[in-house]
Amino acid sequence: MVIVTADFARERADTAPVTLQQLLASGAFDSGATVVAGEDGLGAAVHDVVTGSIRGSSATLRTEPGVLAVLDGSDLRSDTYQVDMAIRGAYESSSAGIVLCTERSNIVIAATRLANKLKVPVIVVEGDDPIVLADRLRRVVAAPRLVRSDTLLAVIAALSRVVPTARLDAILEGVGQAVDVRLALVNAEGRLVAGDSTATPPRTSDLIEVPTTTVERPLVYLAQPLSLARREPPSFWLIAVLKEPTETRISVIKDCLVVASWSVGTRLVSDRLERERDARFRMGVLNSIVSGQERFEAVLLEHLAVLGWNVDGWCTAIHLQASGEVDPLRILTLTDQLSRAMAERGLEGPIIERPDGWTSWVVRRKEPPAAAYGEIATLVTEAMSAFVALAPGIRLHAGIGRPYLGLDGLRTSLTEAKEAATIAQAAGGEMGVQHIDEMGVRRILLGWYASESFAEFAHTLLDPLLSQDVDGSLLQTLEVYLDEESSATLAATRMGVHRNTILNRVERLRSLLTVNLDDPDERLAVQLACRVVKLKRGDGDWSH
Amino acid sequence: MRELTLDDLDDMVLGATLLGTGGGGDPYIARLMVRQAMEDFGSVQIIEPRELDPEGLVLTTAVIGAPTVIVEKVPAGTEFTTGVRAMASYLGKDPVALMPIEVGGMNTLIPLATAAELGLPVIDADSMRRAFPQIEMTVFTLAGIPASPMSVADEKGNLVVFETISNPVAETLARTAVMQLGMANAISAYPMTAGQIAEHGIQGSMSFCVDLGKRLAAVQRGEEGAFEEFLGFAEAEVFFTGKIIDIDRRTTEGFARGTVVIEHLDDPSRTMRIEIQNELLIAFEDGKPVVTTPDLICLLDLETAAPITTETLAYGQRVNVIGMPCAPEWHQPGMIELVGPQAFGYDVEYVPMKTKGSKK
Amino acid sequence: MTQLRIGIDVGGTNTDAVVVDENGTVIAATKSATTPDPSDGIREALNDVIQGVDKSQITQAMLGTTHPANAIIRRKDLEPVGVLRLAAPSSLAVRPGAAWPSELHAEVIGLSEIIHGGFEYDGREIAPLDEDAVRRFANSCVGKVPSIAITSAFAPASFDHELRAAEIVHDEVGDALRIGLSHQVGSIGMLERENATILNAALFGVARAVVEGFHSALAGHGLSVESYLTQNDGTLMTSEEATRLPILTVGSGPTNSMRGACALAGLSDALVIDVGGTSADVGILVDGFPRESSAAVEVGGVRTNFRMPDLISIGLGGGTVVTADGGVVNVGPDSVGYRVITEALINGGSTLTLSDISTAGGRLSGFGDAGKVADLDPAVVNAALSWVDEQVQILSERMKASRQAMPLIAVGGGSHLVPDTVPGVAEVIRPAHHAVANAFGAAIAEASGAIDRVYRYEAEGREKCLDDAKQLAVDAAVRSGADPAQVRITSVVEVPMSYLPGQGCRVQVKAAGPLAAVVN
Repeated sequence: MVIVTADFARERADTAPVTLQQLLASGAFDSGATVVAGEDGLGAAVHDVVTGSIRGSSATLRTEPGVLAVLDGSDLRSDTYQVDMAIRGAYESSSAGIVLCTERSNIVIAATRLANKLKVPVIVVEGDDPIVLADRLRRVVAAPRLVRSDTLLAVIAALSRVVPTARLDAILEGVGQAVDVRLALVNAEGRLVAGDSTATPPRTSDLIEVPTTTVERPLVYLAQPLSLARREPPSFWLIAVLKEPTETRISVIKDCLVVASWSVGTRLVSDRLERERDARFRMGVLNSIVSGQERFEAVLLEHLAVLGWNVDGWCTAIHLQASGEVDPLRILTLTDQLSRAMAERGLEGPIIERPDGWTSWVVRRKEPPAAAYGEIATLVTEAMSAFVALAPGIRLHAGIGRPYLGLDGLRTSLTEAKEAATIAQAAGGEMGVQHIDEMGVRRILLGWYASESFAEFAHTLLDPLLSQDVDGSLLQTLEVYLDEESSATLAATRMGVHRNTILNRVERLRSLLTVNLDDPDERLAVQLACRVVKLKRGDGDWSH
Repeated sequence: MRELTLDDLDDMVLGATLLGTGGGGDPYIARLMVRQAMEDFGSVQIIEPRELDPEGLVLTTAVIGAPTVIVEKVPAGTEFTTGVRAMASYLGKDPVALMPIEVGGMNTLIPLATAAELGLPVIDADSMRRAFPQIEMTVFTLAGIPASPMSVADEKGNLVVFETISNPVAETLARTAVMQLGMANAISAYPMTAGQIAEHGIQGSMSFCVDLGKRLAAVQRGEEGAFEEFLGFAEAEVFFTGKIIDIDRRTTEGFARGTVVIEHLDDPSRTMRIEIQNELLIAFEDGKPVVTTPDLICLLDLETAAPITTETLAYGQRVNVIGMPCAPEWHQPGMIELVGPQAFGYDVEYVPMKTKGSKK
Repeated sequence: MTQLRIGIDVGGTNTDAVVVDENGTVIAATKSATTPDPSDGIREALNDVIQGVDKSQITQAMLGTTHPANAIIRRKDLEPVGVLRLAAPSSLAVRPGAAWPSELHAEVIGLSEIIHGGFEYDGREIAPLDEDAVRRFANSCVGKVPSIAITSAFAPASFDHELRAAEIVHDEVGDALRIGLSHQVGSIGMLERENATILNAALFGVARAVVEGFHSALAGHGLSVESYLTQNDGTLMTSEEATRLPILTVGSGPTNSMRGACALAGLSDALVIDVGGTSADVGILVDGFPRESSAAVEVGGVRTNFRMPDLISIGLGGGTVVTADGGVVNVGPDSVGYRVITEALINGGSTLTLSDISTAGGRLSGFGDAGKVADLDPAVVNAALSWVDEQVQILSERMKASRQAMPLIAVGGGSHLVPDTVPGVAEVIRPAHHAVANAFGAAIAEASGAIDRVYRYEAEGREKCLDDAKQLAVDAAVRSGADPAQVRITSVVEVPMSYLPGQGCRVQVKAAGPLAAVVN
């Protein structure tokens, strides 16, 4: 059976309180206790234990509900009416009951009748000190809370032992051992980020913005979401797995997760800040390489050395252009993943984050043969496939430059790679790799693609269409129709719509645009304008 | 001024028993004393304080001691006359009338016997209009009138006259003297002028006692509407009707404390408990005080309408618990401290009884 | 050898006699009408009951009699008494005989005087005993009254003056005056004790006649046995004691009835209801003895405080008249009494009585003609019976000392009215052969001793005082003939005396035990 509960509200701190019946069975009344009346009320929960004298008990009893009053009845001998008044007071303040340290004979029938009528339990303890007794009772009553505070203290102690440089794994392991729970940190995809790999949740659908409890007997998964910034949705979940836990244990561990999540969140935030700082530095160096200012050559070489970037040999640049569900933050968090994917295929150059993708290069001692570019393109394609498979929603297009010697050569190769990537992206699709050598005549287009004035013109040209094109279908139809050499049939096939739809849309396009699509020149201009608008939008594909 | 008749005496005994609220000493012996005194010395006149010279001296007389001793050491009669004469001699003035201190229990009747012997009238007023166990528990204390000078006398001729600085000290000294003098003595305290009594005393309490007794006697005879008439006259209310299911007597510090528990006849889940300290002092229903001293609590036998004293309480008795507001003269500053529940050591607030508002 | 006892009870209507063995088994029983001269009745009953019984096995004879009670109630055969109170100067405000019914006062109180003497609550003398006054009073009594009753203040605690006064009287006049002392008669409450002591002295003559009649009846049958009279609390006193304390027998009738009924039912703790023709009496037995009344008991209009069984009576009997006017059913208090035999509807009479109701309701059968009440309105029958049931319940409740349910033993000619179930009552028992319950109660009576003293715990400690009181009670029981090996304390009552310094406490202890076997 699976039961998932979203814990929208924090439960009362003292979940599963002790009942008076349980208190009687607990052995806390070690010198013997007699329930002399009010048995019907023994199921009431006891939230606290207070002490006082039977004289003036109304003040003692004027507290919050659920209190058990331990009253000193040593001076009751002649004034047993005070028992009745205490019972009345307990009833009116919804107390859990009355424990009277006095002789049994002091409870006259009026008191027992009243207690039975009002269902207020009256327990008589002979020969016990009320303060000592109350202390014993309080321990039992407070036991759930003591367990809670003990456990929380253990969590805090474990967190304080974790050194500032320790990895997340060390934090999770420390906390997990302290409270004897398997802990894992997962991301939104439910993938393990740190901790115990056996503690990942059974379903990513349970990872929502509030803490959840998933019961999958005999296991119970507790998920505590973490947001790294204000107003940011949670990006990580701290998961604890408990085997056949009690209600109290669940409640306690929930509290522990909250505390641990602060520490884990802090670590995640500081990791992110480090990454951002490093990325900014790397990008600065990269910009220096590309700008090629001779004056700072020495400084640049030093930076290259600090970063461990090798430019000593034949450098082949790779420009990766990301689009789709990306933002600079995601680029940062995905860098490691990309780095692994590249390295696994021998592409062991630096990976430098840009706001819209990554830049890398590979260095060879000797000048690679002319045919080697195909080999690199294949490896990059494989690496990208592996990466994109793990990063849904991302589209990636790569451009590869020719190998050149040294730092200056890298600069040239980087420029080529970027141009190639632009071409690759302009071609559309989920993913694409373009080597500069394979570009051929397409290189002519680069000038158009790079021209700001043409981009402006392209927008002006297509503006009537774009202003009407709410979902982008008109622009897409126009491009595909032109790509398919004005064949409505082929365009319909490629777009997966009926030919008549294409014909209708083309008719509409013709009426919207001021150009004549039957004129080859005008047609070419429109086709180019489509590519440029698409590129400027950073949208590699619109077939979604 | 009017003459007290023997019929009045019977009604007065009944009224005094009721006003004794379960204690106050059995008026039976006092009644025998009054009868004998009236046989030996003639009748007694009851008089209003305003009929007397406002400057005229009025003296009180009462039994002080233990009820259990008085039944064994019956008064001689002379202790009361000795005590009164000693006061007159000490004050250098002869009294124009006697007054009961306590209209409730046996002390209601004692001054009548003495008055018969001394040939003085008895004032229709007192300082309690119920029974209380201590000398300072009077409306006179509230008015700032001292109990002293006062005299305590025994039947042999032993006599002490006290001057004290406060009424509680008077109580302590009198008790101490009584211990040495045989626990059944005469006390004369609160010497006052007739004018002071008219101003500060509880007016008409002797007549009230007789009238109350008369109406209760009618109830006992089973006359139609008599019970309602009785309750209306006393401004009393039946708080509970039930049978006694427990009596718990305890003795601490020389005071016989006790509790009587009553189960309601119609609704057995209702329980009343009444706390006793010589008198019936507080009635609780289900843990809440409903009638508290100085208001009166009286138990009447359900069948015979006889007032039940604390000594004759018995398991299974069927009773009406009557609450009766105390004399209106009690309601003035200091009452609760002097005769409220806390004055008797009870940790209970005074719960005033509702009255018709016909009195001040 | 089997030892047999004779029990005789002389009641207002019947004189019963039984012979029982030492196991309490009834060997023989008779019932006859009470005669104007009770001695004749005793003799006749004795004649009947010992027919066929081995006289040599009879060792003891017990008599319960209403003679003294009837003497007071009918003011018959009472002797005048000289009343001497040792209390002056205290108590002068209330003379002896105050509040007595005037006829009784005139008949009984011959002359009276209050002289110096008596004690305070703390044991000091109120005044030294005025011995001259005792002598003078004794001499003035001679020739005027046959007996003298002496009462001193606080005699239950300190009776030295009473003993001394008795000594002086005896020294002065010899046997010319019989002497009664208050501390032997009653307890705390001087006026009531004095009254009881006076009545006791007034009964000396009656008592002597009864005892002599009893003895002569026994002697007439050649029975030389120990003879006892039963007293109010269900225990025995010797014939000799009975002549000194006849007042202690005035309540023995209902006591013997209750004890007999209980013993016949095999119980020691029970409520007993005796329903006659006019009234029903309820009493209670605790540990085999009737509970004593705590309130003052009036005998013949006089307040006394001697020991009497606690009884509650109401007008509920077989002859109680029932009326039904327009739906309002009224029961009692009028009764046709013993005339129920002729006046009830079932017996052909014209008065609707509870016996008729009981018959119509199925509780009574075999008495009269049930057909005569066949068309009685069932609503009237139910209303009357539910009134009866309620009264029985109220009586039982009032008599019980605690909330525990107790068995209720129903006896008497009207006991058919008692329902089979009564709330608060464990079971209703109707013992067979309860007709001779009174005589049986007399035959099984035990010897006892009791004390009622004021102790001051401060001086000796509570435990020591209680031990002393218990020993005195046991000694008294053994003196009364109890088997020392079987004497037990049957009750201890402590009444703390408020106001009293030195922790004064009135202690009442009673001990009782079966009579010691006679050694021949």
